[in-house]
This record gives sequence, structure tokens and C-alpha cells, in this order.
Amino acid sequence: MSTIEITPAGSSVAGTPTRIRRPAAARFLQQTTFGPTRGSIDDLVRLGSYRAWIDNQLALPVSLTEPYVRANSNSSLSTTRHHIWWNNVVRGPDQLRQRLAFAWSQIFVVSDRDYVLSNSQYAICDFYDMLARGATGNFRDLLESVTLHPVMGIYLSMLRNEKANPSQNVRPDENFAREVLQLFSIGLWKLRPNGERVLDQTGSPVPAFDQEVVEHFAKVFTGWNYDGLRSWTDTNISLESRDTPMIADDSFHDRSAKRLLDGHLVPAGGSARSDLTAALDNIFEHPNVGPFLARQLIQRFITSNPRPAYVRRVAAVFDDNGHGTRGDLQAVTIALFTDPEARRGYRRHPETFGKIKEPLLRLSQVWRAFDAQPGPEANDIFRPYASAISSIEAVVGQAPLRSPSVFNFYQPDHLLASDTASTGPLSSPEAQILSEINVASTNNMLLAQIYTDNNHGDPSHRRTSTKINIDFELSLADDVDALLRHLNVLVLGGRLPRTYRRAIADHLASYALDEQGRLARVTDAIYCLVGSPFHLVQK
Amino acid sequence: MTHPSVHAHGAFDRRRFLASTAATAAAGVTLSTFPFGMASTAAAATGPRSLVCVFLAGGADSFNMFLPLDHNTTDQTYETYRRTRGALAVNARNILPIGNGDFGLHPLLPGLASLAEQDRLATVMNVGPLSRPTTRADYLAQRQIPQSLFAHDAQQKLWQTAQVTTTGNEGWGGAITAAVANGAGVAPSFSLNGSNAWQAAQGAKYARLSPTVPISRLAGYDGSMWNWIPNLDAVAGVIARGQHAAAVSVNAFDRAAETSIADAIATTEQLQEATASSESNDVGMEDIDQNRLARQLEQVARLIKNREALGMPRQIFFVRMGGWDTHGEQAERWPALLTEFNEAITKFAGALDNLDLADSVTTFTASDFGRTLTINGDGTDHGWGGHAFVFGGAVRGGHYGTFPSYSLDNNPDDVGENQRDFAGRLIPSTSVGQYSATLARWMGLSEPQINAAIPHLANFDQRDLGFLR
Repeated sequence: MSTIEITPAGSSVAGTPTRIRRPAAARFLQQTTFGPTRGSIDDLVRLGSYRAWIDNQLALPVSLTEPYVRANSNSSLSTTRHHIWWNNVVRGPDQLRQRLAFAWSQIFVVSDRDYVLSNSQYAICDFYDMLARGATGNFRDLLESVTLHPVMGIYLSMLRNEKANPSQNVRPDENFAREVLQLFSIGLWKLRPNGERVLDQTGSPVPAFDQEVVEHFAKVFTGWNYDGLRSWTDTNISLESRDTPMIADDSFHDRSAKRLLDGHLVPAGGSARSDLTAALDNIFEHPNVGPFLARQLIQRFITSNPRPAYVRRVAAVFDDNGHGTRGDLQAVTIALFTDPEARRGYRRHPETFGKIKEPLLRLSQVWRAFDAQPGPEANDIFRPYASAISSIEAVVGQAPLRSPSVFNFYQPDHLLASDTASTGPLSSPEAQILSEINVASTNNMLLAQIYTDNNHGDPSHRRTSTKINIDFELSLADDVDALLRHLNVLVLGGRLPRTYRRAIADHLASYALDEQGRLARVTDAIYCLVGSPFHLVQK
Repeated sequence: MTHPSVHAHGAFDRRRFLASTAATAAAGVTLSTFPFGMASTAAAATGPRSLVCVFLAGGADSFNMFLPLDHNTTDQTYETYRRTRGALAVNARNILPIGNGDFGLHPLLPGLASLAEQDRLATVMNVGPLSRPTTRADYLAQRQIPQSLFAHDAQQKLWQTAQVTTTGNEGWGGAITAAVANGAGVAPSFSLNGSNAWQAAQGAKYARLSPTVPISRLAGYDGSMWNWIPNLDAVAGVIARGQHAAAVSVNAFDRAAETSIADAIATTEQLQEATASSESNDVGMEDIDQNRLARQLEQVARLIKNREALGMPRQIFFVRMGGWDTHGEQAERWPALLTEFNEAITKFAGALDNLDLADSVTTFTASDFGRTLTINGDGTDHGWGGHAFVFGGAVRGGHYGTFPSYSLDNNPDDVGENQRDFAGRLIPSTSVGQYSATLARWMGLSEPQINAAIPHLANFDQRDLGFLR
């Protein structure tokens, strides 16, 4: 396919007169960043081109996590990486890359709920930074980096996986072999180029691989260990070994022949390295990879139920970036966000377009929209009111690199349980963690953030909690229409329904125009948007 | 205040339900005369009952929990187990014998052994998803084999739905809720650890609670809360208009968001008192701060203790413990896993005893799958059949089903095509459907309701495994 197809008709080069309206800019920035700000909306409108904005973003230096954690913590304190993660997502200029890193961390899942990884904080940050860097490289390279990172080696036990020992009934470990196929690359079912399942004559989906293939991949992934050890079983593992790529020891590698995907045969006698190269090539070339990844990326950023044609367009760019290269993730990223469905799907398919937001994004969007700053006694760490940052996980039900298992926080095909009689069944991965208890606790956290932890609250209270800045909103308080016009774009991307907007406006107008009345106008207006069901949704 | 669209349960006539179960009791049915060999005596079914699913996420290596000890069939002896298990075999001297000593439990499961001693522990052997009785020849020919065997997510779903394809989204727990919920207020179905397919069904909601987040009502929707914020009453009135606007939105996600808020309001309003860590809610589970499973079960015990006040004569609960996917370092990970599991179960059982609720609460385990009998060096891989536990005062202690072969040589229960492929992935001899039906029947589901929820049950002779009174 040509690259022209992936560039929407409405985009234009930088510098031409504004063709992106502010609500459209805000919608785009909800998809591509951790939340629109007044400044970022202004910049995008001025630039007048989504494509140019993406190019600018991806050229920015990468905001990392590991250097901060090394400087501020030992390798076992698991709170510090959350401090720098929040700092990066609230303040980092490379917003798109940070969103990409977070999305890829939900495909190449590792979690420091694992007891070994909880004590490997430098390494787990290195893994995350690797995803941030690799998110715009080639998927083949990223797949290999992930495969050989000791954090993945620990998490899915490929590290020190040994060849079979028939006399002891020992087989190679199948953990990484199974999940690299099922979760990281091709999925369980043969897919059409548009992501739909291939069906056999009886209408049943066709498995993409069977148990025997898993067993053969398990043999491939034998013979890898930490770098820098004195022996295969050396228990003295340095911190450096945990974030240096694993190295091969062929004496523990299974040299038998392997039958891989679609019957591809790797002859006997290969080394750990040559078998690994052959196996990752075999995976990378499988036709499922493009549609499998395209659908998951679209779900993470744009909409839970993409039209098959949207998946096909993004997958086609994965297959060929227009210059004959397969797996170019920068081209895939551009295709993802500039596709006509990403930009205009909310108008074309108003009944089904959109998604439930990841719960973390509700908080990051509020913090970014209102230029939040850490409290005066917070050591420059973003915290919600008076609690340790790690409790954000308890409140919202999600934290980076804290999935309960390699199956991520939610599943791509989790069904929306509420009324879909008019649309047919809809997927909604994020609804899987939209629990009653977390909806309540998140609401109350955001309410406290708005009413109590703003920069006009009592300065002697809650000196460690993050404060939002509402000065600009106060400057609009006398003009209810202007205030709501501004907040509608900034907070909801222009989605505030007219009837509800009128109800809010009537309520705000009842306040006197004194200092207290203006403050009430602003805080009530923000809460009526942030606390409403519309804030749980991205369209 | 009132909220739109909260909890639309399927229509259900509770009086008729109770009348029909009472009639069964009055008929004086006995075990031997009941059709289908059904063992349930419905007399107690008129009293309150709660069912608790303990899901061991990741695929628990139950072959190292329930162990052959002095079992004399050739390929089922401890010695066969030891040879096949190799370096991960539990030392026979340490195994805790139960029952007549044919079998035992891992030394780190003393609480379960003590339940066995009281005849309140049932082990269901080699159970797993099956569409019909299945042989090795059936497997090798791929005749009606459950979908996506050995994959975590798929097999969790098959266990939770008692189906053999992953397309279904309704669990038999949800069928219980749909049958017993009286249509008003919060459904008597709670998860202490997130979403699951077991409790999901058309017309059956369940509330997802957390052992670590106290229940607190949504302040902005309830003007009486947080009264230091001026005019929150008025704000609550305005935001209710936003809720309405979302409820009538053309967009399915807007409506879903509204439903989730309405559900959160209903759940927190009705459950705040029953779940608070107050003195009246104390269930006597001490020293459990570090035990995540026990903390979930403590919240379960509180909700059971309050079930009459909540107007919930039937309740179902889902708790989950992760970490069981022991591909690597199983020997290192195993003690912590078993200790947490054993302590949580022991303290929960003790709490129910103290509250005099043991007879009306049944707890059962489920897991993605059993694991391979053979090892991969320092762990085990994904299997199929495994052993499951049921405990409670209504349980008839003992072991149920058929103990599989653990033999290395020509194992008739293994899925491998030839000896070279042997890994000890065992074909189940009892189906998840049979296991589930036995539990669902105890909760009062009728035979037609069970058939609707578990269609494959018809392919098995034994519709009730008999482990519940």
C-alpha cells in the first residue's frame, strides 16, 4: 500500500493556516498524550498538521526512568519508579513516546508483582526504557531485545532454560515459548489481514499453532543465562547482570531439529544464537503479526472495536512501510493516529466508536489539564492527597508494570456487559477493571483533587499533595459560557452534551460574582465534567 | 436520591423458587431414589447458603498438593509419582495422610488436612474441561476436544463457564445469581478480585470489591457526604443530569460509563456498613495483613455474616490468588504459595465455625489447569486435568472421581502421541461440568436450570459427584 493512504485528507504541512479546530486537537491529544493542556492544544492548532506533530514528538529526547531510580533508590524499593513514571507522564515533553511505552508494556508484559522482579527495580526500569526507545524502531529488533532482556528472562523463565534431560524426565520450559506466540506476536488464531479470524469449513476458528509447536519453540529458547556469571548456576547475580542482555551457553542448548510455525524446519545442530535468530524470524514473518498488533494498538489508543478495514490499513503498514520494510513501528504509529477512522470515527460510527479510558489516564489528564505541581513538601513527587504514590494503584486499580499476570490488566476481547442490544456485542478491555469499588474511589480522589487540592485551597494543609492550578479558569469565571467552552474542549474534547451543559450553566450562574462565588463556579464546573460518566470515556 | 437503571435483573419469582425446593424436601427424596443420582437434600436449601470460589490463577500444580501415598494400584503408587516427578517430588515421609491413608496432602497444607480429619474436605481428582468422556484416542484424533487447551486465558474461561469453547460469556455462577436475585438492589454476587466469567451472565450483575480499598460512597453524587464542600447538594443534583445525559447517549461506551457509576453508587450505598471494619463486622481472622487471599476471604466472611441483614439468602463469591504459574523456581516459590493458601483457608474456615456458619457455606477451588507431571528442570508446564478441593460443613469428606495414572510408561491418561512426547499432561476423567453442577445444585439450581447453564452435562452419566450433602 502507498503511504498516501495513511495520511488523512485534512492534514497539512506545518505553517499553513489553521485547519484543526480546538476540539479536534483536544481529541487527538487525548489519544496521543497523557492529557491535553491549553498549551499543547494551541501548539497543535498552530502547527495545523497531525503528521507534523507526530514527527516532532518522535524526534524529542526520550524521558527515561532508570537514571532517576538509580540516583534516588536502591534496587528493591518499588515506589521510586512510580515517582519518575508520573513525573514523565505529567511533565515529559515526549508525550507520545511515553504513551507508546505504556502501551507496549501492556503487550510485552512483565510485572514486579513477581517476587524476583520486585527486587530488580533498576532492571525493570531498564526494560521500560527499552520499550520507550524501541517503540519507534523495528518490531523485529524490539522482539529480540525483549526476548533477551533478563527481566523477561526472569518473568517467563527463559533464563537458564535447559535442554532436555531424558534420564531425569526433564523437558525444556515452555513458558516463554507459549507466551511469545500467544501474547507477543501472533495470538491463538489464524487471522485474516483485517484481524478477523480465519474460519474452517465448519465455521470454527483455526488455531495458529499447536502444543507441539510450543514444545519445539521451548527447545529453541534453551541455553540463555545472565551475562557476567562464573558458571551456569552461579547465584551471585550483580545488578548489572539483570539489565544486560542474556548470553548464550551452547552446552545447555537443545541442538535437536525444531518444527516451527507453519511447518518451518530448523535443522539439528544449530547454536542457541542461530536457533533464536531463526525462530524470531519465523515469528516475525508470520502474517498474523501485523493484524494482531494493529488491533491491540488501536484498542489501546483509539477505539475498542475498530472496523476491520482500519485494522487492515494499519497492518498493511506493518507489512510494508511503503519502502519495502516490514515491522517499521514509527510508520505503524503514524498510520494508527492519522487513519480516517482515528480522526473521524466518532462521527461516522457514533454508536460504537470509542473506549473506556484506562483509569490511570483519568488522573493524568486532570493533572496535565490544570498544570498540576507537587505539593510544597512533596520532594517534587506527584501524589494524590496525603497518600503514598503507590496507593494510586489501589484507588484506580492500575499501575505501570503491575499487571496481575502476563495477560495484562485486561483482555482484548473482554465484553462490555451493559446494554448493547442496538449494536451487538462490543469489546471493552478497560471495562474489565472498571470495578464498582474503583469507580467510587477514583471519583472521590478526583473530587478531593478539585475541591481541596487546588492552588486556592488552604496553603497550610495537605502540603505533600499535588495541587492543580485553576487561575486561568478563575479568569473566565465571570463568563459562564466562556468557562464551559474552555473546559469542554480541555477536559472532554468537546463532547459535553448540550442538555447537560445547560444544566451546569444554570447552576453556575446561581453563584454571586465574589471571590467565593467564582471559586465555586470553577470547582463545580470542573467536577461536573471530571466526575461525570463522560470522563470515563474517550471518543 | 434515586438512580436510573440500576440492576436490571432477570424476572424471577422468589416465592415460587422457595416453594419448589420445599416441595422437593417434603417429598422425602432420598439419595437412591432421586433421579440422575442427585444427592442434594433440599431441606437445607431453604436456609441461607453461600458459595465461595477460590480461583488459583496461573494453573496450580495440584499434583503436588494432593498426593498418592499408600495406594496400591501399580501405576498410581507413591513410587510411580516419585519417578515421574523427579526433583520436584514431595518426600513421602513428610506427606500428611488423610482418610484411610491412601492419599495425603503436602506438608504445608496442615489446615486442609485438619478439615479432612473432620470429614469436611473433598478432593475431586483429575477434573478438567471436557465435552464428553474423553480417551487418549479421542484426543489424538482431536474429537470434540475443548478449545485452546493449555492456554491460560482460554482454560480459565472454560473452568469459569463450564463450557468447551471460549465463545461463551456466561458462567454458571451467573446462572445462580439470575435465578436467586430478587430484582432489587445489589445482586448477591461479589468478586473480591476483579472480573471473571463465572459470575457473568445475562441479567446477573456482580459487584467487584477490594479487600484493600474501603467502600466509600461517591461524594459528588451524594450531597450529604463531604459536607465541608459548600453546595455539594446542588452539585449532586446537576451531576445527576449528566448521568441521565450519558444514560440516553447514542454511544454504547457513554451508557456503559453511566451504568458503572450507577452500579458503584448502589454498591457503595448498600454495602458500606456490611463491609466496614467495625466491631460488629469482626469475623475473628487475625494476623492476615500480609495474606492477600485471607484479606479477600475476610471481606467474604463479613458479607456472609451480614447476609440476612442484606436480604441475601443466597450469595456467591469469587476470590483469586495469583502466582501459581510455576514454570521456574517452583521449589522456591511453592512454600510461600502453599503457606498463604493454607493459612487463608484455615482462618476462613475457623471464622465460619466461630460464626456458626460452616454448614451453610461451601468453598471450592478452581484453577486454569493442572500442570505437567514431568518437570522442566525447576518447574512444571501447562497441563489439563488437575485435582480440586471443596470444603465446608455440607461436604462429605473423601476423594471423588478417578485417580489418574502417573506412570512414565505408556500412560493411558497422557496426551502425548508417543512415549517421546510424554509430559504428563493428563486427560481429565471428571468434567468441570460435573463438578460445577454438583455445586450449583447445592445452591438450589433446578435440573433444567443446570442443563441450561451446563449443556455438556448431558454427555455424562453421573450428574452429581456426591460430595455435598
